Amino acid sequence: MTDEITFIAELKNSKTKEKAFCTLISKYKERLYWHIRKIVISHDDADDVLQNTFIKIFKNIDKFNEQSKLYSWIYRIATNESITFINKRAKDRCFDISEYHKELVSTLHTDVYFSGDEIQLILQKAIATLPQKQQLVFNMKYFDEIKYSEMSEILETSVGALKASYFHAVKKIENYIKTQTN
Amino acid sequence: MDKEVKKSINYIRSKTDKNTGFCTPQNYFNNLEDVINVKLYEEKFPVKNGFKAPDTYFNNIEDRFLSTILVSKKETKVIYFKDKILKMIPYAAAASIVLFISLNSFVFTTDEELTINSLTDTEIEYWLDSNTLNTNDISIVLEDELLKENDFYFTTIKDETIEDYINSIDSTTLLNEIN
Repeated sequence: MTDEITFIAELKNSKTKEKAFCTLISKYKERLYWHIRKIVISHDDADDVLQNTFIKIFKNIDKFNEQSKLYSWIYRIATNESITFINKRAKDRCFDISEYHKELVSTLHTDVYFSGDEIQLILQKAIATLPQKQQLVFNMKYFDEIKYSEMSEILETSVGALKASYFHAVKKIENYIKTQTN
Repeated sequence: MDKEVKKSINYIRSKTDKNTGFCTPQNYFNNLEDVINVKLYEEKFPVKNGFKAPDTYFNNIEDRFLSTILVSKKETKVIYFKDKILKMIPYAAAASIVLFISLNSFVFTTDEELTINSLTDTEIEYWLDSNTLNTNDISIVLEDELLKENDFYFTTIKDETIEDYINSIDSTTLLNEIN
């Protein structure tokens, strides 16, 4: 905890900001990338959103009030950036967001940066059928194993609501996979 | 609810092995710090370029452009075909003469030497009819060839020969010529 306080102080100090920021990128780049990638699906879009996320963090670090963990704050920015990005894309292409997500996943087998097998493709298609909030909860819980308490900070949703979302998501995905594989 | 979730999760994991299937380009994460730092420097660049247009520049800009276009649109000059042809006649005539001279000088000129044998009788007759010959002309041509012939000197002609010649010709013709 002391380390985090010191690190945040370095990030806010103009003399140490750049060096501390490089450390922050190194520490979070992979975790944030995979979090973003699961939302926007394409690598190029994930790359754009990741860069924008770090720039937003750099510019707004002074506004971070330290009431939540730095990790939660960074994740929240990444989540918001990803959702804003994908909503804008859907709007630009005159798609409803759920339809756009299905459209993205339907072309996943042609993506050079998707190396999953058939069952992993089915899993992504199953996730694409979920409402956006359930998608987020499922991805964060199932793949990233983020605790409900942390997820609550990131998504600013109660733990109970998150558990309910996860329950519905898991049941729908299980049914989808059973339908597709049997 | 938790038990039911656990059961479903176990089923999903048994099928998908908890892998998204997503991957990244090779070494994508290696220089990400540099890429983001470059982008951050770009963000520090001024957004405005400092250029400024006069305050009323964009007011009525359509009218100004249209008026410029209408003024610059001049009446198209009509060139009549007949006038153009008449103007070209002197040039065509001059060109024909030049062509004629050139063809005669360069194209139709042959290296073949002209001899008396290459001329036809008609050509020689035409030339004789159309040109006045005097004795000087003939003497110049014949000087070397004929006039030096000793056969024509009267001193060398024998008397008998002259007598034979006189006897052979018609006397009336001679008398007529003397008269």
